[in-house]
Amino acid sequence: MSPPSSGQAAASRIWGRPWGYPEGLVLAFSALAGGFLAEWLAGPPPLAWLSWPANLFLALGLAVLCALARPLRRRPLARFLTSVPLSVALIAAMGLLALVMGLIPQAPAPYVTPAGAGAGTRLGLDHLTSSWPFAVLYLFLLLSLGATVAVRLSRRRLVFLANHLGLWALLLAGGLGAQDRLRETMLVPEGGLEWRSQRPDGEIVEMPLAIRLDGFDIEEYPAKLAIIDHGTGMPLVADGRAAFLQLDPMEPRGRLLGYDVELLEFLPGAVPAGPEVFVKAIARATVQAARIAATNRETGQRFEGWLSTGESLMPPRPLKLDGGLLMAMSRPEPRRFVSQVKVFTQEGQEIESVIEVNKPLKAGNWLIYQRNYDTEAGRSSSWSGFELVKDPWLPMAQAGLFVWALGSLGLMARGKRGRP
Amino acid sequence: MSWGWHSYLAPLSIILWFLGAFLALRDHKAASLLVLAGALVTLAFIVGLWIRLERPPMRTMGETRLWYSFFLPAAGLLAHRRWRYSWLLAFTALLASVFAIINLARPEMHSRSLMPALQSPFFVPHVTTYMLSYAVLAASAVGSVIQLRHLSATGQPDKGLYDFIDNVVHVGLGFLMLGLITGAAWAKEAWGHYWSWDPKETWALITLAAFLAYLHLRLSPSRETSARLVLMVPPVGLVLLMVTWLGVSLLPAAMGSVHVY
Ligand code: HEM
Repeated sequence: MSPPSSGQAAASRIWGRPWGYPEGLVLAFSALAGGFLAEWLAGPPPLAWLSWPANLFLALGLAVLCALARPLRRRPLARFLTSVPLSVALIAAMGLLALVMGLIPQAPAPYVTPAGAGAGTRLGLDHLTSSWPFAVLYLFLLLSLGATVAVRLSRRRLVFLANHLGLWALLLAGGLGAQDRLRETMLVPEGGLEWRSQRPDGEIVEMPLAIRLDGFDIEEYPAKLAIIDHGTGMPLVADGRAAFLQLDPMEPRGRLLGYDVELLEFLPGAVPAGPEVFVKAIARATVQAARIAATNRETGQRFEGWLSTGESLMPPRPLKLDGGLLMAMSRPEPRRFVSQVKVFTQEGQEIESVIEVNKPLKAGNWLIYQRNYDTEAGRSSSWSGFELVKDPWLPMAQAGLFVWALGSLGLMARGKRGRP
Repeated sequence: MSWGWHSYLAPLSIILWFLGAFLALRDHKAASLLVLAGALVTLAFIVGLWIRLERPPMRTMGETRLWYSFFLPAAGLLAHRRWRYSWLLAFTALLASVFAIINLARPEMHSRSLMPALQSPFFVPHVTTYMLSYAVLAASAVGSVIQLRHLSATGQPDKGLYDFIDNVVHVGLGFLMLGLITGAAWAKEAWGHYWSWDPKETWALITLAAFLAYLHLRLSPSRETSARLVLMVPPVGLVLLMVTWLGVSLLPAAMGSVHVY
C-alpha cells in the first residue's frame, strides 16, 4: 500500500483530527515566536558549541528521528509532520525570515551582541542566521523534510526523492557544518614564504601549511578615458555617473562628453622616453600609454598627445584640453591575476602550481583561493593575498547539490503530470 | 555588432512583437511567425554583441535585459505550441518589448572588461537558467490572474488553465533551482563558499519559497485554503522575482553585494 498522500485537511475545528493548515501555521509560527522570545531573553544561541563532533551527533540524532517517522507513519503526529499543510507553513515561515534578511542589513557571523542594543537587535533581526528563531525553524524544517522523505521512500517517486533528499543533505551540511568551516587569509610577499594567517581581529594563527610566492602576474584590460576638472580633480559626470570612454583599438573613434576622440596609437606596456613620447617595453614597471586626438565639438579645437596610466614611481600623464579640463586614463581593470606558488603541507606534501580567481588549489584539507593584491601598485604589486578554506562537510553539500540538480531536471522533464 | 546597432534592431523587434501581439489577440495564424521573427532579430543582436565584446553579454543589467527579451517570446512561443493560449503569446511579446524599450531609453556604455570572478564556465548557465525561469514564471503569474478573473466571472475554475499554471510553475521552478545550484557551485569556486547570504541570494531564496509554497499548496486542495488565496501566490512571486532581479541593488541590505554592478 502506498503511504498516505498529502493532508486532505478536512477538519472543521482547529485541533480536530487530522491536523491541517490552521494547526500547521500555528505550530510553525509558534516555533518562530518561541525563537524570538528566547533571543530576546537569552541572547543569541551559543553556536560555537555546535562544532565537531557535537554537530555530527545532532545530525545523526536528527536522521534517526526522521527515520522513525517511517514505522510510525500511520500515527497522527507522524502524518502531520510529513503533511503538505505543515510543509507550506514551514516554507512560508522560512520565506518570511529570508524576507527580513533581504530588507535589514545583516551583521556578519560569528555574531557578538553590541552593548546597548536596540529592540531589533535584541530580537535577532540584524543577525538572523545566528539567532534562535532561525535555528529553531531550521531544525523544524529539517525534521519535517527528512521525515517526509523517510515516509515516502519508494522507487516510484524518484523526482520527489531527488528534490527533497538533495535539499535535506544540502541544508544539513550547510547549517550544522557551519561551525567547522574555517576561513583564513594570508598575504605572501613575492619571493617570500608565509605560514601564518591574519584574522580580521588582528589575531595571528599558525597554519598547517605554508605558501611560497614565486611569481605574480596581472593581465589588464585597456584603460578608460575620463575628463577631469583641473580645479576640483573630479571626473565630469553624465547621467549621475562618471562619464568614461573605453579605449578599444578595434574601435578607435568615439565620443566623450563634448569631445570627439580618436585613438591614434595604443601601447599596453610602455615606458616614457622623453617628455612627449612613450615606447613599447617589456619591463616590470610598465604603464599603458595612448596617443589621442580630442576635438572639441563646439569650437573644433583639436588636442593631441600621449596619455598614460600611473605606476608606483610614474605619475599618470593626462592630456590638457580647453576650459580647465584634462583628459586622463583611469586605473586599468585586471583581466586576470595569477600567483605562481609552491605549497608545503605539514604532511610533507609539496605542490607547485598556479592559483587564480575561479581556480582554487587543493592542498590537503584546504582549498587555497586567489583573493587580492596591492591594487594601488597594480601590475607591480609586491604581494598576493590568499584565502584558505576548510569545510569537512563539503562532500555532503556537493552530493546534496548534485542530487537536487537531478531533481530540478526531473521536475522540468515531468511537469505536474505523472503524480500518483 | 556594437551597442550602436541596438537602436536599429530593437525598434524592428518591437514592431514585429507589437504586430504579433495584435494578431495573437485576434487569433490570427501569422502571430507566432511575427513574434518568432522579433525574437530572432534580438538573438542575432545578442550573438553579434557576444562576438564583438569577446565575452558573453551577461554582465550588465542592459545585457541581461537583452536575454530576457529573447527568452520571454521564446517561452511564449513554446507554450503557445503546446497550449494554444494566444493571450500568453501576446503577453510575452509585449513584455519583451517593454524591456527592449528600457534598453533603448537607457543605453549602456560599452565595456569589454569582465572582472576575473565572472570569467567562469558557470557564468552562462547561471544567467541563462535564471532568465529562462523568470520568463516562464512570469507566464504562470499571468495565468493565475486570468484564472482569478475566470473564477470571479463564472465561479468555476478552468481546469485546463490550472494544468497550464501548475506545469509552468514546475518548469520555472526547475530552472530557478538550476540557477541557484549553478550559482552555489560557482560561488564555491570563486569565493570559497557556496552560500553567503548575499542579498541577491537571499532574494532568490524568497522567490523560491513563494513558488515552492504554490507548488505544495496545489498538492492539497482543501476547504481551508481558498483557491483565490492560492492563485495570488504566483503574481506575488513575480513581484518578488522582479525585486530579486532589478530591485536588489536599491535596497539598503544590498550594500556591498557581489551582485551589484
Ligand atoms: C527543493 C525544494 C522542493 C521541491 C522542488 C519540492 C517538490 C515537491 C513535489 C514536486 C512534490 C510532489 C510529490 C511528487 O511529485 O511525488 C512535493 C511533495 C511534498 N513536499 Fe516538497 N518540494 C521541495 C521542498 C519541500 C520542503 C522544504 C518541504 C517541507 C518540509 C516539502 C514537503 C513536501 C511534502 C510533505 C510533500 C507531499 C508528498 C505527498 O503527499 O505525496 N517539500 N514536493
